Amino acid sequence: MTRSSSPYIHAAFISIISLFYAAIFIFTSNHSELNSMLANGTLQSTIWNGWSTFIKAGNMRFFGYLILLLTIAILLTMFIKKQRHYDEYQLSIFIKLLLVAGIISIIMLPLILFMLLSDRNYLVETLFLFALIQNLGLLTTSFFYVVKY
Amino acid sequence: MKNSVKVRRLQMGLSQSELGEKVNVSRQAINAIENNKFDPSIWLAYDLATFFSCAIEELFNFEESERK
Repeated sequence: MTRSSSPYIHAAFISIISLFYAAIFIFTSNHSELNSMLANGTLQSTIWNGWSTFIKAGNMRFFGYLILLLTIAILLTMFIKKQRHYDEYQLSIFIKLLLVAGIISIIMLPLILFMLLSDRNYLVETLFLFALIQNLGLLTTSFFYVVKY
Repeated sequence: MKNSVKVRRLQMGLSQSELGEKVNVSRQAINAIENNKFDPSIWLAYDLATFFSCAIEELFNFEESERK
C-alpha cells in the first residue's frame, strides 16, 4: 500500500490549497492595494464591470468562507467514514480528478500570459475568476468523491 | 475487461461488499470490475483468482477483451 492511497494525504492536500485560496480571498477583501489594481470600467462589458464591482465591494471574502466551509465538510465526511486507505479503483478515480484540475491549470497559464501581453485590463479580475472556478471545482468534486467513496 | 467475477460471486452467494472484504477492496471496485469499467491490477486479479480457486485467465477473458 503506497502513501498516496492514504486519505490523510488527500485531506492535507485539500486543506493546504483551501487555506491558501481562502486566505487570499478573505484578506484581500476591501484592501486598497487590490482595489487600485482593478480595472475602472474601461470596457463596455456589463459582466466584467459587474465582476470588478463585486470584487471591489469586498465580496470575495464570502467565497473564502465558502471554501473553508466546503473544506470542513470534506474533512468531516472523511473523519466520519474513517477509511484507512483508498483501494486501486478509488485511487484511479482520484487521479483522474487531479488530472482534470491539472489540465485546467495548464490551459490557464498561457491564457493569463496572453492576456497580460495583449491587454492588461481586467487581468486581476480574470485571475480571481480562474482561481475561484478552479478551487471551487476541485472542492466540489472532492466533496462528491469523499461522499461516494 | 470481460470476466466471470459476477457469475462466480453469485455462485458462492456473496454480495459485492462481501467479496470486496475478502480481497480487501471496496464494493465500488468490485462493481466496476464486474461491469467491465475498471481493469484491476495484476495483484488484485491474482487475489480474485486465488479466492475463486482458478487461474487468472479463467477469471478474466483476455482473448475477447480489447488490448490497452
